[in-house]
Amino acid sequence: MTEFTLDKLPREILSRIDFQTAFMISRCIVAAERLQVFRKLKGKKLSAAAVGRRIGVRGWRAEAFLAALTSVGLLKKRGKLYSNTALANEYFVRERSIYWTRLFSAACMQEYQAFSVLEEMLTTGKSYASILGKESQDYVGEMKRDQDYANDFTHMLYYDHLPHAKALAENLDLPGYHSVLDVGGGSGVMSMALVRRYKHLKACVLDIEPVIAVAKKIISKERLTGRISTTVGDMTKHIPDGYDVIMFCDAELGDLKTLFKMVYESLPEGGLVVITDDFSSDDWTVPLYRLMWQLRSNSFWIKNRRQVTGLLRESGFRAVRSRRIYKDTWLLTGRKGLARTPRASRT
Amino acid sequence: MREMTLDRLPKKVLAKLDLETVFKASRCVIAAERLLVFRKLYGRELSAADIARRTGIHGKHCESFLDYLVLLGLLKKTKNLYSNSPLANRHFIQERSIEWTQLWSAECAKDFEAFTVLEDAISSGKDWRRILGKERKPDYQLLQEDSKWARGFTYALYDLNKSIAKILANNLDLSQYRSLLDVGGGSGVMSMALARAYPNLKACVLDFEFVCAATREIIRKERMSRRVKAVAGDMNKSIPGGFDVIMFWDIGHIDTRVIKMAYESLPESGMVVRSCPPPRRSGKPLGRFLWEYLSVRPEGQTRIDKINSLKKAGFESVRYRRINQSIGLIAGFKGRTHKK
Repeated sequence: MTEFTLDKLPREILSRIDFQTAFMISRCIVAAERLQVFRKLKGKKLSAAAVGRRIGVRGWRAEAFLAALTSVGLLKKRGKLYSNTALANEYFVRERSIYWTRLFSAACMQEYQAFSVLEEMLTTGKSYASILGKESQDYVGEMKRDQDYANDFTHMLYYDHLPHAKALAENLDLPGYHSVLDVGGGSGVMSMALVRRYKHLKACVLDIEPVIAVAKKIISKERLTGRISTTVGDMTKHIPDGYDVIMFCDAELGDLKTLFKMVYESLPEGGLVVITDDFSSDDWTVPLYRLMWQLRSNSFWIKNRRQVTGLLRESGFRAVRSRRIYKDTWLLTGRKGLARTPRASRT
Repeated sequence: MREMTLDRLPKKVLAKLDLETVFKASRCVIAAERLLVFRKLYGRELSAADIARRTGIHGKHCESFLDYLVLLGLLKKTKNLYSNSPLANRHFIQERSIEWTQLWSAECAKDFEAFTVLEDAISSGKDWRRILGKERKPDYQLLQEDSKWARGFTYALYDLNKSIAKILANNLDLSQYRSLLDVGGGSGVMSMALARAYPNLKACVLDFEFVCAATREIIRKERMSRRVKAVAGDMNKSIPGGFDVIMFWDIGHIDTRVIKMAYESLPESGMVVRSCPPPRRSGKPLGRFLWEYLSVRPEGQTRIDKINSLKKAGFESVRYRRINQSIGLIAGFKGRTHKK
């Protein structure tokens, strides 16, 4: 999925948006996504009143809201009828799944609330949740409570991770390996890319029960049930053995020392640990969104590449390598012992 | 003062900011302004710890926050020392006053909060204040009740409107007139520009008392006391006579009754002038729709409504003229024998 970054907007529109008040138009787009304006308008030309009825917006505000989206180049108005521009169709309909539309816009909304108390966060050191008297967002807990949310979340990450999965399969050499444990593997999208490239390889996705229920359906739809199995589990408590590759892709890793120790013990000699994530640069400034998450947190939790590779070495892994495979996503590998010489491929 | 619009950001910064989440960057700039980060760093190179002490930013967040401003191209970082980038120096120091920094950033923070309930407000038709359970006094009320706020507001608008005042003076021919009443004229920035352009013209700013106190200071500093004065009053109650031009510049909604009072106060062939944004293809300028959300009700008056309200009050030869990209003026005359 390609992000709709500001450089894609015409300069004429950028020249009308003040940096300090850009939040207004940004918030209108979050609202448009939450109300699914671009999806309701796909292939249609509708009046403000008709759009208002479909998205549940009342009175003069429907016209004002649509005109704001028109001003920023996302809608067109001909006579009294509104339709999507090519830009809106591309970035808000074709490039993103409905799951992304639903979940990301809701997540943006929470982020927006958090940033409304930014100065207080900055000066007191408290988290937004404690300032606003709200519970911190816990997506794992939410998935356990709500199967619909788990369904949306797992599907969203499936579509979002397709390019990462392709990049992983292109960059990771696994000819000497036979079985991958895909820890916190969600939809199984990464495993799918790997088993498609390596015909001898089998994979097993480990995740919480509501996610596995969705993953089974996706794997079956992709006709990979014979190559990819699933198992319910909690990676913070136990890492099953019997696999010669243990992989973590964009998984919430938690206490790395304990985790890497468990992984090391579960792997056979010559086994491989594989981690992909948007790790921070050594100076913490990349990627941008992680820095933003950090700002609204209560503690400093970001790990940079140097820290993670250092912890892998401390846990006993050898031949620890890292390389960027897609945008801000890095592939880290480490081997248990000296029996094999796996490496990130140069292709 | 030039706005710090997004087109002034380097392309590499624009490529990092997602349209849907740019509110975070925008909110960080507001916070930086509220905490006076750029002013504390002006002409200095400081460590994160030094900046934390000077701005009150907690040690835990200071480095992340400053690093983020570095990514936005607003700060530079060299060997753990931070300094303003030329972009920050130009837009946040040289081009804006301290009054603008303080007032505008505080207003932006309030507006940001108002947009937290955007979906609720547009779906239910309720006002955001009602949803949030917050009372926010309108500007005209604050101008009458809070002297400090009124002073900051007056200085901030003085700063903001300097360039448009020059454009107005170049586009409004007052060579045949001698006295101007600038209703709701705030800092007097428009009156001073017109008085400078027309040596025969004297001007009087009519505004609330707390505003006039600041206006008089500004007029003194500008050495225009002999040509421009400020008088306290309320346009909704009366429009003083004795002027041959009455101007309403960028003061929001004006009741037809007030326009009629202006007509009564003017001599035969007197002129009325009011500001009016230009029409756009999409209906109205971007900002106006967003401000309408923040207001209690939509402004409602289109260019045609404004022209008609002048005609209805009795003015003749009413014409609209665009004077730059974002603003135009409507002028009308009392009687057919106007001077120009």
